[in-house]
Amino acid sequence: MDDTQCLAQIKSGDGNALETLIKSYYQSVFAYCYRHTANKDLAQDLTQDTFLKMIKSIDKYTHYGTFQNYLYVIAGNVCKDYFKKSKLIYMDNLPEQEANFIAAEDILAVRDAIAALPFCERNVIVLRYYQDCTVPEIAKITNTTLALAKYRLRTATAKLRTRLEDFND
Amino acid sequence: MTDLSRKLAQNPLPQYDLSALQHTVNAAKQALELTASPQHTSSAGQFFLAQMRFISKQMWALQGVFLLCTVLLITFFTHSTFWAKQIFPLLAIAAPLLILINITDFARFYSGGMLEIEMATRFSLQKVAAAKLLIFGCSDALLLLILAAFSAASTQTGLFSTLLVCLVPFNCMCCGCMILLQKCTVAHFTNAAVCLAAALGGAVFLLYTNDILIASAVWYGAFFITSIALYRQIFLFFKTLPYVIERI
Repeated sequence: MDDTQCLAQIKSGDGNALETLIKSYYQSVFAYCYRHTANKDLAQDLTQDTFLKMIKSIDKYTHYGTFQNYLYVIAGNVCKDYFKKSKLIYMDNLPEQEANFIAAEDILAVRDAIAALPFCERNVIVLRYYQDCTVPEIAKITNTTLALAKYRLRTATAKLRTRLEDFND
Repeated sequence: MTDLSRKLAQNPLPQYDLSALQHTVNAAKQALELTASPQHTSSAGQFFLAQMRFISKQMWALQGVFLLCTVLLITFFTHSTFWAKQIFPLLAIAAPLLILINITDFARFYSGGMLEIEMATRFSLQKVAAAKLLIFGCSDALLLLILAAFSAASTQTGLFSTLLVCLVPFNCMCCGCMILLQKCTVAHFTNAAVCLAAALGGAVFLLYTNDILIASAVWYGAFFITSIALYRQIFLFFKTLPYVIERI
C-alpha cells in the first residue's frame, strides 16, 4: 500500500492504515528527533508528539514532495517547541559496546558539536547528513529559499569542522 | 564519503523501544477516533473557506494586478479617439487571460497537489474540484463584471452588451480548458492552455482589426451556444474525473 492509499484510508478513519503508516515512518522520525536531542527516551516522546500532531493537523496538510518530508516539518516544529520550553538536555549514556574510551570520546565530541549549533543550523545538518535529504528538500522542509538553505548548510558544516578539528587537536 | 560525514557517522543511533512504537500507535488511533468524530465535520462554508486557503496568494495578487492594469488601459483608451475602438477587443482578450491566471493554480490538479488536499480535507476529489472551479468561476465573473461595468460607463454602452463581449471568449476558453483537462497529459496542460488563450486572443484581435462587423444578435447566439457547450464540458469533466484521478 503506498502513502496515497494509506492516507486516503486514514482519512476515512481506518486505524490499521494509520498503524501501517506509523510503522513505516517511525524509524526515520525517531532518528530525526534523536539527532536533535541525543536522548532516546526524549526522542521517542517527541516522535509520538509528531504523529499526534500529524493527525490533528491533517486538515492543514501541505505537500512537501514526500510524506516523509511533511513529517520532518512537524518533527522540526515539535523539537523546536521542546527546545524553547527546556534548554536542558540530558544526553544518553553511550552503549556498553562503545565503551572503548577513544571511540566514546569521539562520539561525545560529535554530539557536543552538533548540540552547540543553533536549531536552524543543526536542523540542516541532521537533514543533510543523517536523513539524506537533498538541499532543495531541506529548503522546502525548513520553509526557506534554496540559497538560504545552502548558506545555512555551508555555515553549519564549517562550524562543525572547526569544532571537531579543535577537538582532534 | 567526506571527512565530516565519516565523523558524523560515528555517532550511533540506538534502536527504539518496540513498546514506545506500540504506545504511539495506540495514542494515534485514539486521536484519529477523536478527529474523525462528527463534531469535527465542517460546514459547507468552512469547506469553501478551507479550499480558498489552498489557492495561492500569488494568484489572487495577479488577478488584482490584472484588474488594475485593464482598468488603467480602459481609462487611457477612452481619452483617445483611435484607441477607444480597442476597448472591446481588450475586454474580449482579457477574459481568456483571466482564466489563464487561474490555470497555473488549477494545474496542480495534475501534479497530485489537489489529490493531497483531497486526502487531507476528507472530501472527495469531485467535491474539491467543483469547489475550486466554483471559486475560480465566481472570482472571474466578479472581475469581468467590474471590467464590463467600467467599460460600459466609459463608452456609454449597455452593460449587458459589454458583458457579452467578455463572456463569449470566456466561455470558449473555459470549454477549451475543460477539454484539455480531460485529454491532456500532465506536462502539456499549462502550455496547451497558453496556446489556446493566444489563439483566442488572436482570433478576437483579427475580428476587430479587420472590421468584421459582429451584430449584437450574433453575440447573443454565440453566448447561447458557448454556454451550452460549457455546460456539456463541465458535465463531461466530472464524468471523466475518476479516470483523470487514475492517471494522476
